[in-house]
Amino acid sequence: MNGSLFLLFASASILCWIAASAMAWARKNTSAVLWPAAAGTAILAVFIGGYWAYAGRPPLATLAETRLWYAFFLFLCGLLVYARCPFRWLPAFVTVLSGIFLAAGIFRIGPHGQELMPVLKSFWFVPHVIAYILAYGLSGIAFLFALYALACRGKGRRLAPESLENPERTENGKNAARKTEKGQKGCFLEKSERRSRLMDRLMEKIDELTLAGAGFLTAGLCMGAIWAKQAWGYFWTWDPKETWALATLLCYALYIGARKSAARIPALGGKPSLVIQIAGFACLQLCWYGVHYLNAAKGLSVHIYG
Amino acid sequence: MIFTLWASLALLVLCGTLYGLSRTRVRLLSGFYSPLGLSLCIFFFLIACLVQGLVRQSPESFDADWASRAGLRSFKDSIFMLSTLLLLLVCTGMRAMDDFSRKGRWRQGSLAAGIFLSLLSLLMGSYALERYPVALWKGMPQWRTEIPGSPGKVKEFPFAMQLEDFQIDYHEPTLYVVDTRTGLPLPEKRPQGLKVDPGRVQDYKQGKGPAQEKEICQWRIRVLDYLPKAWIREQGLSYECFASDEEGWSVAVKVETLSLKDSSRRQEWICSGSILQIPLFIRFDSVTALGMGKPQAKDYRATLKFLLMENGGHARMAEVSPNHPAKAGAYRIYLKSYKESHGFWDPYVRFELVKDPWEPVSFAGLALVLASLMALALKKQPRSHPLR
Repeated sequence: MNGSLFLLFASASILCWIAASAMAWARKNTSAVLWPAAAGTAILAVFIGGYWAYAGRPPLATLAETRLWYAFFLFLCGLLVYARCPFRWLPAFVTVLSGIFLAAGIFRIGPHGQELMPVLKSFWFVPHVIAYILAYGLSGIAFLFALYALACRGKGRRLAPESLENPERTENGKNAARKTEKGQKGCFLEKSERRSRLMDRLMEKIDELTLAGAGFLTAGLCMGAIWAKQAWGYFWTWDPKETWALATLLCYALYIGARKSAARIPALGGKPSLVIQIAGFACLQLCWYGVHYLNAAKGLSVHIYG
Repeated sequence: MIFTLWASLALLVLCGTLYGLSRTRVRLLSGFYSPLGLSLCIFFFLIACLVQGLVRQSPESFDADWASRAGLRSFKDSIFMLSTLLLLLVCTGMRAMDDFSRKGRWRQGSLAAGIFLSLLSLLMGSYALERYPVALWKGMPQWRTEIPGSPGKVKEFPFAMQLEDFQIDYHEPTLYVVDTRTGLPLPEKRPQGLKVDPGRVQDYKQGKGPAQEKEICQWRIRVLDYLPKAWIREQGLSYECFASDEEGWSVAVKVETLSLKDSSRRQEWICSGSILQIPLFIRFDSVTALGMGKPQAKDYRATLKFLLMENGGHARMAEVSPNHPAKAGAYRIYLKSYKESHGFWDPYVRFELVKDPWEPVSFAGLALVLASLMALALKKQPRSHPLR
């Protein structure tokens, strides 16, 4: 599949996700939202598979190609998270974030694709990069949740997942009479209690996503180290890109540590953790493409690719 | 090597003693491997990483700016970095011991032990690692090299090695219409190239199919002939190319161009050039030309002959290529690069000999991390909050 078809597939994919976002926002039931979202993700997957076959190499060699994978994993993670926890704003946020990364690749993914360098022809190439991009996708969703949680904390907005505000709606797709957990009609949760439960649920999701993301980051780092030993004889060289990859992982490890420490120091579990989460996402962006622009890295990194 | 072994042993004893004390007499020491203690270590290590990521690391720099004077330009060798790494090692080691001592936490314990081993080998390996760059010329044996950073000092290897053969395979060339002012391929936003397909060129030459062609900007380009190894010969006012694999060859493609504006046709050779040959282009007008991208190496490999002194001495051959180092005694031999400045004609090939006594420990640590991550992922998650 020629790279010139990218615009067509990317547009179709985003349109499906826009439809899913609109349905989610209009409080349609979860399965109705999941179908167009899954279709959008599948369309992008078909393009990636076709492009892989056309190029005759894994489409992971350029920055634009990694953005394509990132958008795909972001869609996929968003889809999986939405299936488990239907926050109605999630599809819209994922669509916007993925759309930005897909739009950045419009003039970059094409028939003039780079050949694979000899050093990239390794068993570790595909698992190393895919583990990283999947981690980036998970961290991207965690970042969106963290932003939302911070906004909720700051403004005290009443935006809750459907399952929390109205458990029946997500189960039946109908705006049935509200019930409490005990099944008593007309009994509403107190606003503050509801907000507190929302925050708990949000933090739980962020924790799950961060744990999974940090796991994939660690796996990617280990596979990269093994590959580097095979290619250059070093496990680790403190190359700027490697340094930023480690800084990203440490940020997420710090988040996990802060959340675990919250049992003793509750203040660490809230806003500071969310700020660390956002700092982790910023480090991730620096590691991924920010090092291209950092004066500290210019001419020093062997890992920078265009 | 002996020093690093003793240092590691001392570190292990320190971890064990501190952990033992934390469980019996000095309970306060359990803070080292508590989530808060580990978070603090991670925080310090993060600071060290951020400094290295934000300040250009160039220890050999002679610019005496404030960052150099403060030691920030060689931060990986700083006291702060070393002490942070040691602290993290101790805390991770104690954490691994604590996890292993508790029922049902072997996965977390393995992860901590894997991280401990990886960090330990990273630290100790940086002291024990030996690297020697060696340049080889075809047919000339080498058994020693100058030690980098110690002029006049020579390292003798327990074997001799000789470059028997060196091969580079190139990707097929791609033709581009280039803006001669910027050197960038056109169209500017979405550059297009014509990648030569040797099979189609062969078919066309044998009359079995049409010539490979493509429209780029205002020109239709047809590929008439392709010579992967060619020499240029001057013929009157033009140049001709002929097949030759003599050293100094370059890639050549014969093309026919048709201008879609004025229907003018041209048939000429273009070639990538080498140290002995000029590159050939087709100039369309004052700002555009048809040229060939620099051929990219698809693969390169060297065949080495080793004469090993052990067991009474014996010779053996080995192939070295990127990602596939050869092994001789305690050394691994990496193919670093070939000299590109002289095009395809250069018998000079660079290798690097690496002796890393900590390599098995590093591999064990990394494998343990990967295995424990997998075990954690496969573990049936409790219904309770994941971080509680």
